This record gives sequence, C-alpha cells and structure tokens, in this order.
Amino acid sequence: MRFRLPKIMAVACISSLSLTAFAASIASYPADWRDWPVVGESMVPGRDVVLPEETPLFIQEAVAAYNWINDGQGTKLTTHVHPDKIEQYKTHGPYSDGITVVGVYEKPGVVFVTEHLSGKPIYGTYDVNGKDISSTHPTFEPQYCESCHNTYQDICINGTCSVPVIDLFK
Amino acid sequence: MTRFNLASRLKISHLLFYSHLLLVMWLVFTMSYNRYNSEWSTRISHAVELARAVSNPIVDLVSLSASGRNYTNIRLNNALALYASSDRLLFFTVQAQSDFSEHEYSFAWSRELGDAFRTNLTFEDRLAQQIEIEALEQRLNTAGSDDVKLNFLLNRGKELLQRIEEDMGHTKQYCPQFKRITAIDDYYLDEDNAQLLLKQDLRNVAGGEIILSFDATPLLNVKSDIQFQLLKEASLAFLFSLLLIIWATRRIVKPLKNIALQMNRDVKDIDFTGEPEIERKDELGVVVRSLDSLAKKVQLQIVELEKRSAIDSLTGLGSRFLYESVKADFVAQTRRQGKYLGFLICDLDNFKAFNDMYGHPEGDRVLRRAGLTVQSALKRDTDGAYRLGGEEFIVLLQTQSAEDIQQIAVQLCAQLEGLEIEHLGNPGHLVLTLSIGVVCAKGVDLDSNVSMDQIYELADKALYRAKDSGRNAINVVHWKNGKEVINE
Repeated sequence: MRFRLPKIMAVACISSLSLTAFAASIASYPADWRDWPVVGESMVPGRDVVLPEETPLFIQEAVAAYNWINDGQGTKLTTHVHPDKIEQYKTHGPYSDGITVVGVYEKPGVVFVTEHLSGKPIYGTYDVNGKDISSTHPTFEPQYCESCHNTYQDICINGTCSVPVIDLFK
Repeated sequence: MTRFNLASRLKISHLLFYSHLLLVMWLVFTMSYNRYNSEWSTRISHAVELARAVSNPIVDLVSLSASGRNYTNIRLNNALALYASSDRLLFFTVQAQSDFSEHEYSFAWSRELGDAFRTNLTFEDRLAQQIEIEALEQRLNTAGSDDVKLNFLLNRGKELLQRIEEDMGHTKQYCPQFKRITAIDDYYLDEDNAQLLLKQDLRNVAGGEIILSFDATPLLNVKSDIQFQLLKEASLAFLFSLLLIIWATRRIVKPLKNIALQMNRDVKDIDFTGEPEIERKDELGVVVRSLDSLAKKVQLQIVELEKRSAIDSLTGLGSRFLYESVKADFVAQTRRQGKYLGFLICDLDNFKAFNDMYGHPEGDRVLRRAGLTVQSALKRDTDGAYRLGGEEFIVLLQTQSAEDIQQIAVQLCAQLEGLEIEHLGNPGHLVLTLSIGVVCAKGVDLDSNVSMDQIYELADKALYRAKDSGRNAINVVHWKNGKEVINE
C-alpha cells in the first residue's frame, strides 16, 4: 500500500480546504477543445424561465443551480466531445483515460471539463483562456460537479449525462 | 307455567333505582365513549397532519434524490439538519425506483445514529469497490504524471468503501427495527412502541414511498389525559346522577310507603294530618290529599253507622245491637267489681190496645216519652237502657245493694204513671203504666258459667208474674248461690 493513514488524512485535509477557499480543478484544460466535434447545443434558461411541471427533477436542480449565469439571462450551451471518444460518448462509456467532453457556456465564457482516469470521471472549470475559475463560484467547484454528475448515477452514466435535452433548451 | 318476571318481583324503589341507574350508566358510558373517540381521533388527525407537514420537505428532497438515484444529497449537512429539525421524527426508511433505470433506491435515517445510510448495499458492492481501489493503487505504484488525479480518485474510492462498510454496519444494526414497519395504508399508531408511522408517496416519476416513524409518547400522554379527564367527568356525572336517583326514588317511594302504612291501619286510625306529603304540590300530594279526604269521609260514615246501629232511633236508648254487644262484658265487669247486677225488663201495659185506640204515631210519641223516662232513671256511667223492640225495654244496673235496684224499678213505674198519659185501654189505671221484671244478683254469685241469657229468662218470667198480678207492678227475683228467690 503506497499511502499510509497520515498521508490519507493529509490529502483529505487538502481536499477539504480545496472545497472551501482553495477549490481547484482536477481535470486538465484542453486547449484544442474548439476543434472538437460539437455533439449538442442547447440553452441554459434564465432565472425567470418557468420550467414545465414534467421536467425531470435532476434538470430542475441543474437549472436552479446555474440560472444565475450571465446575470440571470441564461446562455447558450455547446457540448464538444474529444474526437477519439465520440463512439464512447454515444454509449456513455466506458471511457478510456483522457479528457472526454467539454461543455461551454457562451456567456460569460465558461468551459466545464470532464476527464476520465481509470474509468472514473474527474471535473474542472476554466474560462475560455484556460484559467482555472473553479474557485470563483460554488457551482464551478469540481466537487459540486461531481455531486451532480457522479451522484445522479442513473442520469450521468460514467460521469456524462444521458438525460435528453427538453424542447425548451433546444 | 311459572314465568320468571323480574319486574314484578322488584319493589318500586328497586325498579326505579335500578332502571334509572342502568339508564344513567348507559348514557354516561356512551357519551363518554363517543366523546373519547371524537377527542382521540381529533388528536390523532392533528398529530398525523403535523407529521405530514414535517415530512413534506423531506419527501421533496428524497423524491428529487430518488429520481436520479442520488445518495449524496440525502447525506448533506443541510439534509441531515432537515431530518433532525423535527424533535419527534425518530427514523424513516425510503424505498423507491429510479426514474431512469430499473435500479432500486433505498436508504434510511435514524435520529439515534444522526446520519442516513443506504440499506440496499451487498457484499458484492463492497467487493467491487475494493477491486477498484486495488486497481487505482496498482496504477499509482507505476508512477506517472497523473499522480494528483489518481490520488484524488483513490481517496474518493477509499471514502466510498468506508461509506459502504459503514452503511452495511448501520443496516445490520438499525434495520431490525425497520422490520417492525409493516404495510400501512396512510398512518398507523403503534401504541406498544409509542410510535406514529406515516407513509408518504414520493413525487418522482417511477414512484416510491417513505415511511416515517414519529415519537408518539406525547400523543399517548394526551390519550391518558383524555381518558383520565373523561373518567373524572363520567365519575362525577355518575355520582351526581346516583344522588339524584336516590333522592328522586326516596321522594317517590317514601310517600308511597307512608300511604301504604296508613292504609294498612284500621280505617278509624287512618290520619294523614301532619304527613309532609299532604303539602306536596305534585301528583303524590294530590293522591295523599284525595286518600285523606276519602278516609275522613269513610270515618264519618262509620261513626254514623255505628251511631245508627247502637242507638234506637225512636227512643234514643241503646239498640238491641248495642245490648247484644255489651251484655257479656256487663256480667263480667259486675263480677270483677263485686257490685250488684240489676236486670230490669220493662214493658208498657196494654200497649197494643193503646196503638189500636190512639194510633201508631201517637204510640211512637208515647214510646219516645217512655224512653226519656227510662233514660232519666239512669244515674251512673255504668247504667244502660236499651229498647229490644216494641214496647219492651231493658235496663242494666250496677249498684252497691239490691235495694238500690228495687228503688230504681219503683221510681221508674212511678215516673211513668206520673206522666198521666191517657190510656183508656188500660183497665184499672186508665193512664199509661209500666210492669217490670227484676233480677238482682250479687257479683260474687255470678260465676263464669252464668250468662245474661239465663238472667234474661228469669227477668222475663218475673215480668209475666208482674203482669199477672194486675200490671203497673214490679216482680223481683234474687239470684243467690245459683238459685232464684222470688220477691214481689
């Protein structure tokens, strides 16, 4: 065993700190994401939008989490998949190591990165220039991303969402 | 055929008492029972509504989590704070279906533990996590540029494994108490364990349910309070009713008993004067007053009847009936007092001829005067004069000597003759005269075998002798040592 208990505790402490004041992206920033194929375009609705009652609860929560973006006016969301992982994305995994997918909020320019390592997803949040902005908002923290993606196990299979986009977002 | 009729065997007091007692008991019982049910069901409804209100935010959270099989949300600090916010929520268990797969979603929360835990984890889940950790560790040992990311994943994996083991332990420790929760429709009050179980449907698409257990101790305390309060009120009502019944029964039955006691007396002795019932304004008062009036009427009629039967209506002397009733006592009384008994049979001379000559109305008037004359001769309380019929009178005397008797007899004859009532049919006298047969007997000579009838016979014979001697005469017989001694 490589890690002994004190080291695990130290990592846990660092992780805990990163959750509060020093959150940092785990996944790496892919500089060439603009060249990747776009697999989906939709909208993040503004905070004034009333969702239909039948909207899945997960989406309701996701919308509630991010409708503050762009001063609450909503924005366009574009999804790019790494060219080597198009087929894996279609089946929602299993994923090989490396960055898998990025989701980009057009305004104010936020790049959500999903990377896989040993089949497990890790997350990061950057601006369009590659600057780590995960500590600028609670919903940008990788743990927050994980709490949504990883814990809604039947929606985000292997860390990428499988829920079809509702008409409102198209 | 003998029929057992309870009602006919009971006294009115018992019938009134027991019937009203049963009625009161029934009323008190049914009213208390209905009130208890109403009160208790209201309290339960209130407790259920309260529990439902408490559980609604939990249902919202759990429904959202069940929708995407999210076990993270339900363990966040704010979620645990939400569960613990109601002091009475002891634990709950969730059983649901994911909206996006066939996977089951289940977890539980316990106040005692202060945490939520998955309840559907298996040894296979733990084994899979262990294998995953081993794989990450193996890869980390090979060293590379992804150490930070691998360490992140390894720590997360270990945390997950630890969580799985803890959850499995908690399931083993706390699930037995969940097994007590059987299928319930809406809610169930488990009084044995002082728990109120509430079932709520989840709001996710695939559905599910959450069963929450609340501490029902306060509710059961309220139940005890209600029971005690109702018991107290019922006891008071029963006691008051009992006193009322006893009072009413006595008020009705006591007068009836008094009436019965009065009516059992001799008619002459019936007297309701002074009885409190006679002043009553109710029906019993009317009955008592009516009975009193009736008794008084009957008493007056009896007095009148007695008077009429004891007194000869024509002469005012004692009647034959009275003579018959007093004769035996008169002999005995004379014997006891040691006085002389005087028995005088007086007969108006030739009175039939008087009636024939002067008519019966005149005859009746003469009889009345003769009666008054005989009556005037009586000086002592013990003396008595009786009209046996027609013109025949009997005089009973108690004197100190035989001479007194003879003097009275002489006086009687003289007084009647002194009236100088014309009687032309009375030869030799031409006025109304009287013949008397007299028996004188000393008390000591009248043994118990001597009857008045024997004396009467002697006196009657003496009367005939007086008549035979020319009328307006007295014939005296002395009774001595059981023998008669005739003395003109």
